[in-house]
Amino acid sequence: MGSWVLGAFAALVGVVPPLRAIAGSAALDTVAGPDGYLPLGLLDALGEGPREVDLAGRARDGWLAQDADLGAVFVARDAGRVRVFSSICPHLGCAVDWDPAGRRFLCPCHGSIFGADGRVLGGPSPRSLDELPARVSTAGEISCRWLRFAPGTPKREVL
Amino acid sequence: MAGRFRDALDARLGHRALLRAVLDEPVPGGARFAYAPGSVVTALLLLQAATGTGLAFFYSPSSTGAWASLAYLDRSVPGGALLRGLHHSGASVLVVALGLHFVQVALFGAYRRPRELTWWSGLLLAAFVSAFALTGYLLPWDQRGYWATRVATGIAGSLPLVGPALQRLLEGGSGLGNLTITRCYALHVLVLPAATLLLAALHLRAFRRNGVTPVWTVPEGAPAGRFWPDQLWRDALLVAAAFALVMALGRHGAPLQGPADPSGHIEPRPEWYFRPLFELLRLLPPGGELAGTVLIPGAVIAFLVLLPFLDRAPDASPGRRLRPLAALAVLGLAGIGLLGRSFWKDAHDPAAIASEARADEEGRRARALAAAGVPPEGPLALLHADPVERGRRIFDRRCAGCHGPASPEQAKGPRLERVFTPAWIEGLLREPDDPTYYGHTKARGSMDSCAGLGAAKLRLLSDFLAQLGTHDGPPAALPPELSAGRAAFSDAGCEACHALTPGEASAGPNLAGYGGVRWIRALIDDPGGPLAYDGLNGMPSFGTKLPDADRAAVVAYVVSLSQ
Repeated sequence: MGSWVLGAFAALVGVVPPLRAIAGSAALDTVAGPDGYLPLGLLDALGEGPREVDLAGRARDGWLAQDADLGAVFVARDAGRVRVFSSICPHLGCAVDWDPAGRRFLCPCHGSIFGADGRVLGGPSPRSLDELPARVSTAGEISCRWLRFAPGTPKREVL
Repeated sequence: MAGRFRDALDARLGHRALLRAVLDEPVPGGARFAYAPGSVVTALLLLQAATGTGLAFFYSPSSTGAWASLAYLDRSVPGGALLRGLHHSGASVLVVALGLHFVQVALFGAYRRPRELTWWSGLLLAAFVSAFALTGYLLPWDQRGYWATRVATGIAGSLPLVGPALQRLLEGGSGLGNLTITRCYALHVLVLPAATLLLAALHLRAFRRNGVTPVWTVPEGAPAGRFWPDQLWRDALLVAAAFALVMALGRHGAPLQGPADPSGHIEPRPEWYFRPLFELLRLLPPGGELAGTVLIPGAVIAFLVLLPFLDRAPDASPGRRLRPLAALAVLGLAGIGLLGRSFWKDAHDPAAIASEARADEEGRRARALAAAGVPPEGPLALLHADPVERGRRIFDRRCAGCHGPASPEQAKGPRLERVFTPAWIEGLLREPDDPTYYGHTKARGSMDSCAGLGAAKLRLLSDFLAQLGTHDGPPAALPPELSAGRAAFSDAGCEACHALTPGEASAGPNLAGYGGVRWIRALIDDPGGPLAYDGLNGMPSFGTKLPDADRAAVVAYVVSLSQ
């Protein structure tokens, strides 16, 4: 009996600290972009269909702090308004493509289809494309914030 | 139900017979704590494997990522510092347990025929533990690990004939860098664990073949105890005690000095268990290194390997094995003596103490800077980009010769610890010609002591002067809360020599913005200029000696001294 207790203590010392650190880091914000608005170019340069733009900014990745690409967004004009969609498919996180011929977004992985306004039209995606908070300055410069959302749920939750 | 399940499992695994074979071992003369050290070593090796696996989840083996990933683990990951602390202290306790195991083996004569294989595999296992320690020491890529490894691979490189090739093999190329880290990492987490596992299996198999070496007092044919449960609980108790010790030593984490800096100044020290070898090298006269690196250690190893043949006593009682035991005792005591001497010398060597304190302090500052993230260029780039850190490096090389860190008696310029703080200024006002201030400078005797003003006035004046750096403008623009100090400045007659208006010449240094960025910068650029000490300054004009950015960095550092 005593051996079991002592053995259990030894196992605790060996097992709990590694597991605690491994599980603990899962709760950290290890990958993060800047909080502010990031530039996307000029409104004038916007063409007919949505335009794909790379978002870059000061990013944290664990111990690293670097200027890096955060991801891509689609900048679209919708009824006179500028809208910015994350290119990440809300289904399982693939990157969607703009299909100019069909005027729709297609996800190459599992076939989700979204309209030019981002609304889900078909396929497994549980919700429409995720829209990012965007603004246009008086000089016509478009900018947006970089947010990521939980995949696979009908409700939109910021990660 | 449970019984049927166990029966079914046994029919498929045969685990009962296996367990019986493992646990039902006869222990001659009954179980004893003295038989436990081997089990403690085994358990500690397993603990190192467990904590090391945890560390591998976070460690990034590269010259830019290694230090940064561990600083991150220490600072940001819950329980990360503890995890690193356990792995670090586990290594130390393992070495101690290994030492006790050796004492047990020596005392009981367990290396003797027919247990030569157990002995030799044990020696090799101890060598593996050393290799674990050497490869693991480098992995944090901090100053200590970097410089100690540089010395270690340098020793390898100095060996006759094979040296240079061996050094390149160990370093993975022509110097310490990424390939050294990946090499040490692969050895530390893949090769050595696998080799240790195989060799430990051989060691245990050979051990079980002949059983534990009984204490010499146990007569032949005495009734034997059983490993399970008599010996096992004793082993478990000592294992638990060893783990508790690992916990106690490692609960505050492991040291992490500043990041490896090939241009830094550090007196490398190995981990404590390599101190005997380190001290042996330090003791040998110049030119005698080979004795410390090859000849003496080689002779000791040869003696240990040949020990089963040298000890030919008819039985294992220590009384009949005086000579081999005496030789082993001399070796052990020499090791402990060298270990003690090494630490004793360091503890009484001001240079070593200062070096250690500086390294700790540098590590603390580097970790604080790294909290905001380390750039892809690595932690050293982070330090170089920080004006205060950069200024400190330049100051240490260009300014410290006169402004410290030697004793005030030797310094040629004023001491700058906490310079421009009210306390520092008050000291200056009281006794300008103290060696801390102008005592060893050309300005000696040029300023009168203000000690006669009395403590209250002095404090008011010092506080006023300490504020000038943040109110760098004409006297009329000074905020109302400084008016009392301003009045004291006039009352004390300071204005006779010291102008307060920017750009206005006066007999003594102009004090507009005193202790602020502009004032310090002007002083560094032209210390003997009309607005500064006007010829009464032996300090070189750095305006032409240092690039602009370097001077700005020195100013940032001097400003940081007052904070």
